[in-house]
Amino acid sequence: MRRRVIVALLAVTSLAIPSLAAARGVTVTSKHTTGGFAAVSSCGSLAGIGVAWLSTANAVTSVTLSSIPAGCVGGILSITLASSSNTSLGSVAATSVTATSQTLSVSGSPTATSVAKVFVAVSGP
Amino acid sequence: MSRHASHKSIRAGLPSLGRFALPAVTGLVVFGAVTAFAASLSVSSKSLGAGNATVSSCNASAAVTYNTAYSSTVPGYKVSTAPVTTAAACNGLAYKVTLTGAGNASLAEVSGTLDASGNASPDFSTNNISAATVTGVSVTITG
Repeated sequence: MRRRVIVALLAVTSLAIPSLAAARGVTVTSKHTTGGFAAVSSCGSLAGIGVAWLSTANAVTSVTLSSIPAGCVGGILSITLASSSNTSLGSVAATSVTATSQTLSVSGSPTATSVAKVFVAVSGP
Repeated sequence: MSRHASHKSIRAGLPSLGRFALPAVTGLVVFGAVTAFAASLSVSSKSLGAGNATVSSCNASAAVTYNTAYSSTVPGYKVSTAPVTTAAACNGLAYKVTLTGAGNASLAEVSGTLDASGNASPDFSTNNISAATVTGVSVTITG
């Protein structure tokens, strides 16, 4: 009976303190670590882009961009028409740039006379 | 129905366009999708005993693209998310994406865990980072 108790106690001890068994042999492992940096560049100069729009009953229905840099073809274009206080009045859903001149539908039916600013963003290609 | 047409440049637009010609220019933002190539990093770690460890990479590259959203706060387009694509071998590992601007200054940093495909879509919306100010991106993957 006493022998059984001792064996049981030894078993419990080794399970409860597993680090004791592993203390001598040390295996070093390393985590994956990778990192990198990339410059974010423009697809071209946008200073020469022309902006025009079509309005019906003083509501802007479409916007035409011309002279889009060829390097931007393939990128994703977004346009927002805003008021003088930068409130969004209407926008063009993100769409692919397929040519250097493009006409796009405007949602929100912004009042033409209220549009004071046009914001354009191109992500990619 | 009336049609307003611009000439070759915004500045040369018809009188009705002139009042917002300059804001349009300042609002123009373009930044390309980039590929962030992984590079070796020095690693220090605490250990018991002596030994050597090899630092391995789960993938050779990480591609970063950008989604934008208009913000009247900026005002202009801000970076909403910057999806990161790596490889399935990187699944479950921790990532950190840092957008940098002029002088390599950190603009914002988002961290998280890569999904089962080794991808993630860190959200920068609350940081209100103007897309026009982003000139670089850094990606770190650990795990």
